[in-house]
Amino acid sequence: MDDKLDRELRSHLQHQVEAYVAAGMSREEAERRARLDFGGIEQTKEDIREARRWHVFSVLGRDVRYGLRMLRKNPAFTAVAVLSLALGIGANTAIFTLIDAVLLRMLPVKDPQQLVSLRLDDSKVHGNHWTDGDSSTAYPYPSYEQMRDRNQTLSSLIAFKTLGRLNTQVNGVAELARGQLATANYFSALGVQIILGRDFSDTDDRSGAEPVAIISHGYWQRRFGSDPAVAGRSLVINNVSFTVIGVTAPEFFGLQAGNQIDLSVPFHVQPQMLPDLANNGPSLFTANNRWWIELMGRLKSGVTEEQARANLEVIYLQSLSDATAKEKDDTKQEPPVQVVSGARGLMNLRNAYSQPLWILMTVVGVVLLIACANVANLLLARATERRKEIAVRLAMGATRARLIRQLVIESLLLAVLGGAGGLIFAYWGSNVLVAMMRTDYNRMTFDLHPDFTILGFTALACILTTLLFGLMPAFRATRVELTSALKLSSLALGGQRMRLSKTLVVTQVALSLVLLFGAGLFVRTLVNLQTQNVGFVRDNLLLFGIAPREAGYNDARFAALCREVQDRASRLPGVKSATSSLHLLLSGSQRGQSIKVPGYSPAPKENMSVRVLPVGTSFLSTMGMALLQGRDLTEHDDENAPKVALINQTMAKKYWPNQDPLGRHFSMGKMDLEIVGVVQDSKYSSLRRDAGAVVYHPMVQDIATMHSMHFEVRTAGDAAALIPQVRDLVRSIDSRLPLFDVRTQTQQIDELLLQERLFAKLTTFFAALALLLVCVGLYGIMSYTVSRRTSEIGIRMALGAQRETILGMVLREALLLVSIGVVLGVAGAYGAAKAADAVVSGLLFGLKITDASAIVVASLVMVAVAIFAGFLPARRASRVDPMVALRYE
Amino acid sequence: MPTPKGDLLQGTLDLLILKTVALGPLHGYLIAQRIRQISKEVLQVRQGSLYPALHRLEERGLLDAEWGTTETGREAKFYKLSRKGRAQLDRETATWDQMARAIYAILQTAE
Repeated sequence: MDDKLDRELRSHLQHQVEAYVAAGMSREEAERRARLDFGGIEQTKEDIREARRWHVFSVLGRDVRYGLRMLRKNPAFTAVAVLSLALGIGANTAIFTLIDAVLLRMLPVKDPQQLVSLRLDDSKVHGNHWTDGDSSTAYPYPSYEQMRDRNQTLSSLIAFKTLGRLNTQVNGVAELARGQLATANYFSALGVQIILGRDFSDTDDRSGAEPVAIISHGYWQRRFGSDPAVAGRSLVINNVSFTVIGVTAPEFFGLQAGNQIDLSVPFHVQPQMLPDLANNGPSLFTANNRWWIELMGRLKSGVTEEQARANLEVIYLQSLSDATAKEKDDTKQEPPVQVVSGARGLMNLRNAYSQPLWILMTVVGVVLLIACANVANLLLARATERRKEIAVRLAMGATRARLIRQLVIESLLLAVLGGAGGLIFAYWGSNVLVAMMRTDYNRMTFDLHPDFTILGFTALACILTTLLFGLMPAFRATRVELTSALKLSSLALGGQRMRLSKTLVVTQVALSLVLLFGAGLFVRTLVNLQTQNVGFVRDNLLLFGIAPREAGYNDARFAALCREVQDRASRLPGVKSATSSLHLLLSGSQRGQSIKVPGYSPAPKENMSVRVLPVGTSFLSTMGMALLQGRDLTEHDDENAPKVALINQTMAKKYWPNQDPLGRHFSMGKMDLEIVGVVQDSKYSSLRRDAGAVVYHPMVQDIATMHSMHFEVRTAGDAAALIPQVRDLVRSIDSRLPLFDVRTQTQQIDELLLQERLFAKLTTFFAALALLLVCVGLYGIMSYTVSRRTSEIGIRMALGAQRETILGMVLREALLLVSIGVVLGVAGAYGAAKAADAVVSGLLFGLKITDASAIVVASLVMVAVAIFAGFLPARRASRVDPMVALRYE
Repeated sequence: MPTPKGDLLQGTLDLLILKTVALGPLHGYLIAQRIRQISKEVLQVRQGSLYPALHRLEERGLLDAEWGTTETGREAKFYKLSRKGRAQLDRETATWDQMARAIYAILQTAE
């Protein structure tokens, strides 16, 4: 554009020069004069651009004003269209907001794109570290020190260890908080601002240093009432007194979206604060065979991830002693170091949520398509009404392009109004979603404020939908045979438009059938999980946990405390019995240990670990689990008695096939256990997986390995009603013990099924939304058909057709449309099921992805909806007065 | 709409351009020349006014434009009247005619 302007003006100048030369001037003189004549070239260019721009805007402005007037003139049309789009765009924006917060957004730290997260690719490593997916994130502490000091590729390397449940006290009020151990350079390396007080210094993270803590902005507001003089105040964490030295900036939440870190303390307080992390072994700070801390580094500029990886791996391997290498005799090879981008924080939550979120995104995308089809249908209907207007404008000399532009601008206005409504829906909806994902324990917090990414997404959705629903009707509307349009009434035309509209409705039906089918799969999965036999009685069971180690209980006092709590809980009024166990059943937590069974020779590399649950007395009777053989555990199986165990059926069958397991022995760690009973199989930590081999043994016989305990209380009536009594009871025994995991077994299962429930709810909700949109679409097209055929119906009635015949005729037409849609939808659903098998099957339970009942139910629902949506227009048709109808236009 | 600078009456430049190119495609320099010649050097169109006006008229669809070469072999942008432009020219000419007559009639009245 600019280039052309330049050429044009230059051409003018040359003409002038030639004219002057022809008149007898020298070329230099001519050029000088020509330039002088012309005046400011740049100014002229600017004027030209201005003239063009101004014109475009004036035309646009006119179109927009005209469009708004048209929308105002048809408030019903506008309302339905805008609402459809607002729901569709809102659903998409809401899910996208979550995707953005969980999966896409960068960490709110300095230059996040330089951050890398260090992992070990370790399908083979065994050790005292936890894994997530196929690679672990944990390193030994000495390796960290060496990598930090000796690398040439990172400008800084930090280490941290996330701690789930810390027992904190501020001003004598106990509460559980989430925290982390962090190296002294943690905040400075990340570039997180300390808005109050000071950052850690190197001397803070040394053995024997005064314990100090940096708290999050949220924790500061919540627990310290935003005290501006908080630096220097004291805070008790796991019975160790800390001095608060600083508060982090409000936007910093930790390194994992959704998991707010409340407190950060230096690594070297671990021996006082979390002694059992070391498991009675040597110091974690010198052991190079204990993988327990996570690392994140900042790349030097110009260094690639691969260069850093190679550099760090050499140091890592050197940092492991020979002893470590020997310990892993089955694999001589160390797992390779992995360096992955840390710009968006840690992977864990993203892995867990990415698949469900993308599935939901697909679902809402389909909802938006259905909404678009609806609006397109409305526009087509209106285009028929506006046929005369359009014909007149064409006759007056308006070009077709001009009219299409006008119509598309009207569509864009609808989309923008819908998008604005959608943003409101989305803000509200995404907050509701996060509230649904939150549990007592996992207080997910996300920043859901719409930012430019989200606004951009919504804008894009608006433009795309406009093109989807607005373009085709605009082209269709402006293809007018002038003479016929001017002469004939609007009703006599539109046969083509009917075909197009019907195609749209059939598509809508097919799409929403796929959604209904999907919702059916997830609802049945939830029902299957909820109603399966878990192996114990889940109703009327109250659960709670205590963590007395942090309050300074030694083994003997711990055991005595557990006995007292269990004993007094079982004597509360309304309680039938009570028991205790290390973990709660179906809580997601479990303990695993390797066993050795005399007489059983394991296959090479056979995994000899079983699931273990240390329990109190009366466990089987309180839980309602069936004892198949032998006896239950009693109070006589105490610290001094021979060590005993109950095993489940699966374990009995596996290690003692065709034998009586009673009286047999096996060893587990340093313990030798005698089997005294066999228990029916039940679920342990997961509702989806079978528990496999399970050992139940008296917790008092292995109390040294436990630092918290849970209790199960069987009640006569509503379990939740007993919560206050249980709280009072524990407080009367020791007021320093905060209760956690207080809930009923049913609530606990609900929590375990959180994602399944969320999925069933959301997919059902979106399918219902799709159905509603289809209803509107079907109703619209049937009403239109009836009004078009009024005179035909009149003639039929005049010739003696019964009302029922007419009713049937219209309903049959609606049903025909829906049937075609259903047939296409069934095919589509099976196609989608095949395509999505890999992604979705893992989320289902107790049914295959091609479940026949789900598709039958979905089809039936669809047909019922068709009858419902077709009935009103059909009845209107059957009540047509033949005399009126015959005179109709 | 920006008014043409210079001594011309508001809106008159547009009319003059439309009229000038009604006979056949012309490029900017020639349009200015033609106006000057026909008006016997009375009307001088400054380039600073001419080109914005040309582009405005093109944008409004009253002029069509295309690139071509002049008889001297130079590259230039040629403007010609569009169908819409012709209708506009007729309307504007009629209006101008009416206006001129009215003004002249007033000027002719005896004092």
